[in-house]
Amino acid sequence: MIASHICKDLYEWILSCEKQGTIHSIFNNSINIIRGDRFISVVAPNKPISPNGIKIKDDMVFDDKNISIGETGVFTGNSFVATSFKIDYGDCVLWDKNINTQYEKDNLEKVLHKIHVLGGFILQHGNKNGIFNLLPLIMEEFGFENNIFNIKHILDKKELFIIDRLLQFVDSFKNSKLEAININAKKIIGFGSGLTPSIDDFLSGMMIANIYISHYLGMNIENAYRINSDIVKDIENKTTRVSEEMLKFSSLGQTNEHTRNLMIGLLSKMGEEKVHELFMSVASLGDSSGTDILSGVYIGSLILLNKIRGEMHGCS
Amino acid sequence: MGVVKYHIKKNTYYDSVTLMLISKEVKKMEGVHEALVGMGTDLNKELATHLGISSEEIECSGVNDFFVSLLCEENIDINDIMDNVNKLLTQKKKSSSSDYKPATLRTAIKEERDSNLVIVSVPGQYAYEESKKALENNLHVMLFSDNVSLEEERKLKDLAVEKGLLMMGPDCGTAIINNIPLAFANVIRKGNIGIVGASGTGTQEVTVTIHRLGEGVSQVIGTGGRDLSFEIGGTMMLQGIEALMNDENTKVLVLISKPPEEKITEKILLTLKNSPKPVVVCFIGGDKELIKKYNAYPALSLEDAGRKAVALLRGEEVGDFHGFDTSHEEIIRIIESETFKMTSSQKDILGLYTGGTLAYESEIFFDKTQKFIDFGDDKYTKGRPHPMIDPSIRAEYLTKEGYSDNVAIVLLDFVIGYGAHEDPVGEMLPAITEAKAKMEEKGKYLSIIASICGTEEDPQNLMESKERLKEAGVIVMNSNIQATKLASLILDHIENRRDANV
Repeated sequence: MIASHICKDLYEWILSCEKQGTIHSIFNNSINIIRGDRFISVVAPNKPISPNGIKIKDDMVFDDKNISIGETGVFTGNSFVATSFKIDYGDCVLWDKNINTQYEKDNLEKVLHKIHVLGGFILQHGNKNGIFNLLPLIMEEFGFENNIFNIKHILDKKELFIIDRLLQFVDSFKNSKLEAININAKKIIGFGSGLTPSIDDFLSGMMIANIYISHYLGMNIENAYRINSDIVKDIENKTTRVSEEMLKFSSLGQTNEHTRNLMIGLLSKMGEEKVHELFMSVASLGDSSGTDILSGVYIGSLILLNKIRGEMHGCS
Repeated sequence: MGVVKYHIKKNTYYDSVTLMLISKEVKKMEGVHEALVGMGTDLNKELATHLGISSEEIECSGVNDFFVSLLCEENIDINDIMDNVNKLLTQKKKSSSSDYKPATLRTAIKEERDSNLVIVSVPGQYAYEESKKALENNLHVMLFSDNVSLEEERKLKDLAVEKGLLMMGPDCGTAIINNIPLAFANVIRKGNIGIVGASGTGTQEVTVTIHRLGEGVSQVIGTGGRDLSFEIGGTMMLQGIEALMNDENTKVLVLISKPPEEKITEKILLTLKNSPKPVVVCFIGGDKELIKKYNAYPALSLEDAGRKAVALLRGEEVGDFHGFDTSHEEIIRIIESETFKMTSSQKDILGLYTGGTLAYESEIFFDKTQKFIDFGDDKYTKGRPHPMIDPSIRAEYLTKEGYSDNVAIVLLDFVIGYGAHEDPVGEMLPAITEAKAKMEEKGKYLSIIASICGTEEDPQNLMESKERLKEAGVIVMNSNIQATKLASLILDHIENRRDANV
């Protein structure tokens, strides 16, 4: 396998010395390799690269490759060599996982408009297997203007189980109550059926929005990092390993390339048509993961932008 | 109450497709009262306890362990679910070596250089730009999206005509091009009847009739529902007619639409006056004499359009089809048995449709007091998929409204084929059984009449779907118009009986 991209930080870590890695999990479009506290995702070209990731150049189905869980391999300067396969990354593009702040900012009204268009996109095209059915209640509870989620849905037992906890978390996030954020995040992390449970995807979206919107608004970004750090402070063994990695990176504003492009699209002068393509790219992730991330970005962005505009209704 | 059954797989991760299949399989199983599918996170374990479906083993599972837990009847075997999922996954792998989905039109064109048609399905505000881009790249367009302005539609269609391309839509749900079904379409035999249709399920009903009678289609071109409006002027129907007239595989043409504006009707018909190929025109409820004036064959219904096209292709006598496939005696027997247990207060029809044109074809058969709902209408699809994809809204409606005291007959359509729900009949059966049972509790009888728009080649299994409906006490007719006529006869019978009693 030839890689097209490798996470720059991962590559620098590999170069520091030769390391052994073990195959953790195998899917159609990705495999995960684990080494100590590093969790490395190798993805097919149709999937976005993420922090600690490697992207393969040619189309492939990993679970047809006779790769087995527990198989070991060695990371060298140019390749990962395992018993049944090899990944060459010596000549590929280095991908920087850090937040991208190199864009020309759009004005606040236009950004808000794009956020509302994102809401419309979720409403019309969102996958309903995750957080979707809870959005109307969040929108109603926090009195967002232009609430387009005025759809009636009778919550099932699972949704009833989580909704109050979720509303409490969103409330503490909105009011930046650090201690409450940590307590309430612990009560919801790991909820949902997926490899990255739905609530985790939602939180990832909120944390990414928190960092990018804070930067966009010229606020003290350290506050945003502090809030995110409290969200992920006690997540060890609260959720799946894959999700834990995602949440830790998200707290630093580091995310997969699709979600990062989306944030740039929303905040920069990128046209609506292009931004819509970015909605579709994120929405295509996983089963409901994409919609859940979009929902987190949507709610997180609305909270922060409305806070600035002082246009939140129904609560201080 | 049921028993708790579970399946745990240690250190096992499933991808989203597998998880979705497991959830669907669980939901499909009869006798499952509650189910939870997830990883052994603290929250999921707490939820299992909350739902009363936890166990010591689930409590001991870790974040990297997968579990399915059910509250179900004793006879449910959880291993069957996992076996089914494994089978489905194997089938899926065989059928798709790659699931590459380009995110933009530009990358799609780069990836698929030989393609000459693009299906556009994006929110309305972006549909114009995407379609324009496709036309500018000399690609035919099928525009599935709605909410495109008339002005934009006109511009797109003008550009298509200028470039000699097809601009099918907006709001175009059905087409079959070079034997490939696009969006909502059935598996129809290849043949010599060409269709230009301004209505999706109307076109499906005609193609299905043609297939049932042993013939097939050359091309099926959709135009979108507004093409025959004054503002658009039938541009794409004219383009479609021209394409089919020049297509050597097309021997007979069928045009399908709700009645167009008068001026547009004449404009379309004028092109047919000296047509070298016979043309059947089905402007549902439209002026038949006017159609005859232009040497075309007017159809009385969608089924009649299919029948006439087949007769013309075979050089047979072309007559109107008014009746039923079933014998007169059988129809009388059905009417008597269906009305036998009805009470005198039952006098209404409730038409619950997923196909807009099928709803329209039935609705115009009755007076305005009868209630017909097209669940594909914008007001029912806000924030949810079209009912042909997710028919649950209709099932919910039937369980709530289907057994109102005055309802005598519920008319239903089932549209199968590509694009449609994998088992629309299965989705409705519990609601049908419940509605009938509730009417019986009230000492009444609810007659349910249905038709299935589909062929035996469609993925949903037409014959099995029919049998399951019949087993649930539903009268299944061969077409929507036959179902409608039967409902009308039953209503007449009830009225006559009431008059006789008075």
